[in-house]
Amino acid sequence: MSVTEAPRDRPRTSAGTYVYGIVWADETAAQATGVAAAPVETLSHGRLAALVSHLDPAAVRARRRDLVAHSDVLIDAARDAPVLPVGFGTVFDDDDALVAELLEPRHDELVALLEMFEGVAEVTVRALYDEDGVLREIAASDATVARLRGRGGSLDLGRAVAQALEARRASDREAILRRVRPLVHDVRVDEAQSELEVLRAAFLVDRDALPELDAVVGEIAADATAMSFKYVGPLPPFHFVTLGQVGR
Amino acid sequence: VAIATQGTASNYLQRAPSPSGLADVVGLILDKGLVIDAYIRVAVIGIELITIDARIVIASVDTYLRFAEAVNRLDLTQTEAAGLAELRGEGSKDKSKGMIEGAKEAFSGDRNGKQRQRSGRD
Repeated sequence: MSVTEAPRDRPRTSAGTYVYGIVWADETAAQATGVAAAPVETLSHGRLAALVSHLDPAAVRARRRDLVAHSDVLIDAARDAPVLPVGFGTVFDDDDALVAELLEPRHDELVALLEMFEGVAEVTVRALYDEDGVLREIAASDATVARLRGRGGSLDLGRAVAQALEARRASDREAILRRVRPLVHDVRVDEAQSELEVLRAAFLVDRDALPELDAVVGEIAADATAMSFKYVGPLPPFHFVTLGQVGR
Repeated sequence: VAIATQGTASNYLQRAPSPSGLADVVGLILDKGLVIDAYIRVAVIGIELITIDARIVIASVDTYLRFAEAVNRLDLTQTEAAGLAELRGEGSKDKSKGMIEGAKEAFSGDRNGKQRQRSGRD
């Protein structure tokens, strides 16, 4: 920490060390090209290596290709080894700063985290109602909605639909989680991003248990009506890794 | 726009190796993973817009009106037939005009109508 100058006062340099994530020292970058079309390299320190690109921080934007590049570098690296993902847009002054500010002072903590995520992966499940389908079912089954329907666009009708939808969503969400929970180590449920979203969740699962989870998620999708699913993985443990969660 | 997976055996859900939509990518890498001391993070241009865009207000008056309209537009075979029969028999001018337009949309232009309404949200 004390080796480097205060980062707040750093001059606007044209170069920096962009970090994607942390892997074991013997890993190599699986994907050649990263953010801002810069090559992906590894920087080792002790038992750790950082996946990095050397680039001008000003060249980093929230562009589709940069966001996807960050995500792809990590997903490719996580295919058969543990990866600790770092959030998009993290740039150190240079390689020395990365070592002095992260890899050296946090070495043991990061090693413990890598060991912890050995053999496990994150998968995400997103379930979304098909609007026509779910409204049709609500209109057919909910007495209040059925009664109010056809009397012009009214607030009462809309509120009744929203209430029926929310009740249905809560029970559908819980039903999905109930079936998945026995197969996974941990669950994170993200906030819904639309009123038609049933579930947006991440699960931490043993890689060996993935086929079993595939079968269960497949059954859930097959049993569901008026719902579509997105099922993604294996991913680095985006939802499950935080610094400070281990040791001092 | 969602595509219904009715869940037939031929429609088996496959696990995808990586997220498909930009919103899903953003949901993973923006405020997740190791967040190292905030000052090290570059102020990435464009991030604000993406995160604000993704937030949708649930249970607002807008939502109620949209649901009401959508439910009224549904083509539920039985209730719709009853509604049309009723329409032919009686109904005030204003009311019947609205209902005929609603029914027409339900029978023909449903998809377009919905997408128009949703644009700006997706």
